[in-house]
Amino acid sequence: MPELTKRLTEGVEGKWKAYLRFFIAKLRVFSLVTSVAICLYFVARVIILSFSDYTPVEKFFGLLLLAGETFMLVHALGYMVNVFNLRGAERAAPRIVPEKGAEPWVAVIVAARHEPRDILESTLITFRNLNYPHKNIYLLDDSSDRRFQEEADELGRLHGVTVFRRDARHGAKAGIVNDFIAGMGEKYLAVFDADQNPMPDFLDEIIPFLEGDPKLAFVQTPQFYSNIDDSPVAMGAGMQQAIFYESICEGKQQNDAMFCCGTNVVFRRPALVSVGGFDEGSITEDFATSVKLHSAGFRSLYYPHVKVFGMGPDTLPAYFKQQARWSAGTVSVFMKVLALLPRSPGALTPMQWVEYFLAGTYYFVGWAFFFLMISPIVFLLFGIPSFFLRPEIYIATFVPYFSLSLLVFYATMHERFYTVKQIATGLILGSLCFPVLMKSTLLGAFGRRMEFVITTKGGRERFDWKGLWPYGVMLGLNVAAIAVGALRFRHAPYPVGVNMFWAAYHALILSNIFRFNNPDREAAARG
Amino acid sequence: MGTTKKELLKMINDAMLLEDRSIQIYQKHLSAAVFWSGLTQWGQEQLRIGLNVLAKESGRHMDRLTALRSRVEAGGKDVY
Repeated sequence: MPELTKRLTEGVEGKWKAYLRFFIAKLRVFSLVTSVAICLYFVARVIILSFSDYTPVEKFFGLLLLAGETFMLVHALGYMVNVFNLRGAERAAPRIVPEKGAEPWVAVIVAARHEPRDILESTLITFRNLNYPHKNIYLLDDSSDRRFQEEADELGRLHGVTVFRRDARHGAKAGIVNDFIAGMGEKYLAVFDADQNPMPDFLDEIIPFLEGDPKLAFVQTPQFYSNIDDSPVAMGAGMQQAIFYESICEGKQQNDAMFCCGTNVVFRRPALVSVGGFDEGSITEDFATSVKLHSAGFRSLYYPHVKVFGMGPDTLPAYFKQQARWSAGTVSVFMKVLALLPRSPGALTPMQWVEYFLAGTYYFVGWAFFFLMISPIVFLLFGIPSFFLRPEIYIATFVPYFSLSLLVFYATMHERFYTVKQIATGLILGSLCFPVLMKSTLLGAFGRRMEFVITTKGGRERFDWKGLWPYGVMLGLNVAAIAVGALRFRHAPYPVGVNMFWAAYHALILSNIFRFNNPDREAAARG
Repeated sequence: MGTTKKELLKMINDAMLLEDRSIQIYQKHLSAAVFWSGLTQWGQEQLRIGLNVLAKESGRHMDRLTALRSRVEAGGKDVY
């Protein structure tokens, strides 16, 4: 058997194996060192900007860059805290396995509105395959189209599933689930999206946690996309899910701040009822409801093992729509959380506040990326220095922060067997979301949603190239900045060289938009 | 307390539907899990071969169920 294990895993690591193993073994120490490096760089940046002799225009761009960098530094620090905590002593959540035949009843629900029949049927089949004996399966059909209603009824008959409908529409998914909860008799509620398929032992694993802790309001499990072969977008989206559901969520669990992600989750009904059900005022009702439950003194648990498989967005429009919805909803909830802080600072623990702050601000990354991107452009094209560090200070502060942060991030992903190419695909796709996130966070702050103009090619959605003008403009500016930089390089090699490097890096990221927006799978994969 | 022919045929049809669809669903999901496993190409291939064997075995179950359904349909008994 050891021989087989060796053969299965040999060649996974290359010549850097020994260094990387050492780094991973000492990850707790390195996360601490990186946190110090992050703080040092931030102090250096603030001091230099504060005491520099810049014109107002230069100060303006300097502040934009500082804002972008501060965002990155704060979230990098949050990641380091998570890594540090994860390397500490593990806390085992209490579990009580119910006696055979005395298992509490669970309502297994899928809320659907105009979902393809095939996808919905697969989900219902996996519900039926759940080993857990005391379960009732419900299809919460919110379709307004007669054809989809008939399909739902037919699926209900075919699979012996109860179809639930409501009389008056209110609050989208949260509304129909709330109407359902009002009449349900089961103790627990397992919630799934239409394309999420639980494995047969899902409830057997999760229910004992809820039985073991009466203050536990919900148990969240990861989302795992199975359609990674469909397109580079599906691969990138799957990779982003992996980053979020592994290090980040596991860190949130350490701080008792795991929030509900809307699917693959089991709720305790009385806990939900006590806070008035799902928040219908938000398009990310899951996130908003988690705040309510935590501030009411309930706990949450993150179960870090994949027990549900599903489908991720496989085209750029689908991915952007998903990100726009999540970001607008999260920002609108974040505004409410901010308003709660001065009124009830004791509603959450300090670390829960920190975790909600990090989660609530995450989608401002689009603005941060934009600010970081325009700085080399304005320097190279217009000679406006956003900030200037002497080479020795740059090497002493930026290089340790940047290289250590990258190394810690890579090490945490590497130990879970992700490759550089996979990680890069996820990060590039996330970066390309910047115009969408900038607009959606702004709209989200005012409670509005984004609209998209989409075309179809070969049955698959894609953006019309004219609709991608922000990428064209930014790519053109970066290329122009590199060209001007090349002409100016010999006059000031250090500042021009550094800014040319960043402009080239941003141009490289932007150029990937062509690959991701190609609906032709084979061509996209080759690209 | 027997099972009528109609009920038995319904149960067989249901079993066939579940068997047929379930294997496809889980096989796709597990193949993706194999991709992220961090195993070598050889290791991943071995697991995929294993999954295909299971899928083929399922095909044999389907053959048996199809044969059983034909037998019940052709049979004269109404209570089993």
